[in-house]
Amino acid sequence: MIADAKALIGDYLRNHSGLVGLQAWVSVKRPSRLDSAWVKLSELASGDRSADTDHLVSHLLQFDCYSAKGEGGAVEANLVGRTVRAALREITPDDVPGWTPSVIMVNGPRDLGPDTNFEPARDRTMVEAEILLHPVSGS
Amino acid sequence: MASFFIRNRAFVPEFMADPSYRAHIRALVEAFVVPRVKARADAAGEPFMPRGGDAIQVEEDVEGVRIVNTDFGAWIAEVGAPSRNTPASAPLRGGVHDAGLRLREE
Repeated sequence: MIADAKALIGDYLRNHSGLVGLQAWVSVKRPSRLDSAWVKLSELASGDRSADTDHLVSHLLQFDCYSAKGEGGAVEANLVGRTVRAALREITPDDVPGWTPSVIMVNGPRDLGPDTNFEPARDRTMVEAEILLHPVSGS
Repeated sequence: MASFFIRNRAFVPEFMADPSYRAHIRALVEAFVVPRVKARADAAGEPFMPRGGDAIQVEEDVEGVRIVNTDFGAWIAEVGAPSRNTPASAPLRGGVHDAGLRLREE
């Protein structure tokens, strides 16, 4: 069975010192409280790269990084985006039990401007990444 | 011993500008990538704000062959509007990934 990339990468980011330091939530949906910065994690696509064996699966992920601040939140949204990028660059096999991650592409953070669907509007940046996950032998 | 090999530094741009190379790339894109992009766009209910005609088109310019989403709402489909229950369906990025290609770092 292929990896649940959202759960694995979400757990890793949730416990990463950079995001813990920013008190940022990491979630796959809108958090219940908007008083801390948050990262919404989406999986855009996944595909087998190992000739129909599901041994090497590529996951295309999007990280929407929101500021908690209604005014002047662009700096915070950018900082959260850069922290997510740095965390993805630092990932090691020890961070994803049972799987070997290879981050082969990271783009962003890209400024998406304020999300006006929130009141007040929250600044948002986007990071996207392609991560290969293959099972550690024996798992 | 002296080498008589002279590297043609213009080879790659010359090759990429060759009409037969362009035609081959375009044929591959239309056969393998565009159907996957269209399938994702259809599944997301695109076009959200139609511009008219087929939303997903293949174009060429001096830099290469491009797949273009002409929907005025293409950006919403691509990156999503999460707080309005419109998740990112990413027809362009997802279609490229589905075709087994790799997105490049910018």
